[in-house]
Amino acid sequence: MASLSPTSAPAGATAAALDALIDLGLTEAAVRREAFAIYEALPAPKSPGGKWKHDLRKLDLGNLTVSPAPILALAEPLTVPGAIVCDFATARRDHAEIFGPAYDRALANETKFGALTRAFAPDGLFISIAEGVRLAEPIRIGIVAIEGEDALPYVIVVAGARSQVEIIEMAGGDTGGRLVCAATEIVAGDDARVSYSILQQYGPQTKTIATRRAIVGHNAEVHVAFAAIGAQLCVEDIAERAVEAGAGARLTGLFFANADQHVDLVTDLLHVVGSTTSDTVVKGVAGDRAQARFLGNIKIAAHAHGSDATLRDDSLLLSPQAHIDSVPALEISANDVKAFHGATVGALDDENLFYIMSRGLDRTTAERLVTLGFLEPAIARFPSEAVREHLRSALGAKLG
Amino acid sequence: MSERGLRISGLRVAVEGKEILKGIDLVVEPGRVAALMGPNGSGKSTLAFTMSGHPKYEVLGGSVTLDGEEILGQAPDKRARAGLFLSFQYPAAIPGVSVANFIRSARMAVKPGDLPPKQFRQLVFDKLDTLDMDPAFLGRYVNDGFSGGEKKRLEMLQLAILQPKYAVLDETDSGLDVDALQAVGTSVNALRASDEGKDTGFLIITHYPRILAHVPADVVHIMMDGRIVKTGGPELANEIEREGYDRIREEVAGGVA
Repeated sequence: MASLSPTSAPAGATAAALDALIDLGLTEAAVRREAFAIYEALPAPKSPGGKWKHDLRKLDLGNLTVSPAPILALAEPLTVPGAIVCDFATARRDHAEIFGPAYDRALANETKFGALTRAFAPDGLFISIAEGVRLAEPIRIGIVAIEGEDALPYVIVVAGARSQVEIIEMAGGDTGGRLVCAATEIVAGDDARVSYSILQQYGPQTKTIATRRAIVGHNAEVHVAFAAIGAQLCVEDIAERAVEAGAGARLTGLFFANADQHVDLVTDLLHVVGSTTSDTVVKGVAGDRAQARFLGNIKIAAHAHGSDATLRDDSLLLSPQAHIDSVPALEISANDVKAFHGATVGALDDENLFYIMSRGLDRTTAERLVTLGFLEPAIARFPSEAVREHLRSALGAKLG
Repeated sequence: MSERGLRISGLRVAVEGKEILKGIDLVVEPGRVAALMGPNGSGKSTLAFTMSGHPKYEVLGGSVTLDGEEILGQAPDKRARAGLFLSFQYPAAIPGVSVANFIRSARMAVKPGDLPPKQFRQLVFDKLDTLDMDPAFLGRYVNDGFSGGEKKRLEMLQLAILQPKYAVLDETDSGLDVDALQAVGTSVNALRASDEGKDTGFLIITHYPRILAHVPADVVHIMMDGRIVKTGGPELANEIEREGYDRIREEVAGGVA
């Protein structure tokens, strides 16, 4: 790990700043420079336009000050034979045969901001589960954003054949207007079971942009479940690729935006070969003047016959000023596939509220019940009861 | 004004500018069963919704007092906490909210803190048993994907758990098969026989007299075109069973002429 302090760290998302950081001791110079070139070459995602207030093309990273602190931390140490959880430096030294190929996949480079993370992240967290190892308890990761610093959490997960792991990422802290630019890469081997849950509860000034990539192997299952509660701007770009027969990709997205929050969620489920399944559920709520966009893509490649894809997204608007754009896109280039898409956008239903109030519950409580109920099918998909309870109480608290 | 009972006087109500109730006077006494019968479109459900405070119903005049307290103008939840319960003809579905969570929240709202969780659970299981309902019901989302009969059973479960002072049953018998109707009757009678429910006054709104075979009415009111046109004893329901509403309609028309 490079020994940087924020005061000595060069600022700005520039080649000069990266060079200076490399001079200060960042390793993997060539990989970082390649990633930075990709960052510079890729255009920023287009904003939806119209009344959308945030525009990633205008994001000013002139003051990017990389947090050197261990922003990734394990809630509790893990001592299970066959399970490795360590920083990249340790992984590179002690587990090069597993870490090397995973790191070289460079999945983060698929997006502009993922490439930025790969270029500038001082270190990362590597999780590797050996063949046949099934963890009974989840691995909990905490991402704590620190005031005055930009955080670049980079996580790589390698699940060996027939392994099983549940990872829970709890992200919080108030960075006072700074950026959290995250990248998560998951590779699941044959018959592996991986779930990766993200609970995003940053403070109201934080901007967060995350890239999540998963490769799902033969008869393997990966479930990425994402809940956005905090942050001023939350961009999530999640892609899962079913690359071998029998692969199952699950994706759950949940967001509740209010005040002036913005959520921009992009999901891509890619059926690279046939006899693969994908299942996406997104439930979004927007209140006050919040804005959200959901781009839900399913791509079934040519010859990926026998693929089965479902995409379900529902939006609930709590105020006339709130706005959610839901844009599903199914691109199907194979025959003999099953693809389902269903979407709704609605407001709170007066008859529902009246029914609940007629049972003695006041309007605020009735609205909270209906809203939490609306989100419940997404909450229910999070794999552990502790996370589901945490979510219900965090959402309930936000609903007042 | 401190007289007990659910007292409706001179109630006039419009929906979307059209006067539907044209001066209703009706009293539901504690511990008694009043039936309100009438053909479709006579205004029965309007009366039920108005009493419960549905915002769509505009009160043009009159009053509704619950044990002496005026409830018109109060929010629906306040009326419920005052002791009024409406069993809906078409109960709303609340996806994502379990029956268990909903009835617990409702009980806490109308009778705050009166039952420890263990006793509450016992009460729920007793009532499920009375209604011949599977406890698996508790884990389902409120009315979501319920059959007509299941919805009415859930209304009766809520009635039994909330133990209101006055219960308005709006067409609870409509669309029910014989078994479900029997379960409704058993549930209402069980509540009336209990200490908590012996003083509950009922207003049973129905088109058909068949529910009154299970829950006998003390008094029967006939409503037509927004007015109570006839009031009598239980025999009035039998008369409608035999002859329908036409004879009463003629009788009323004759009386006016």
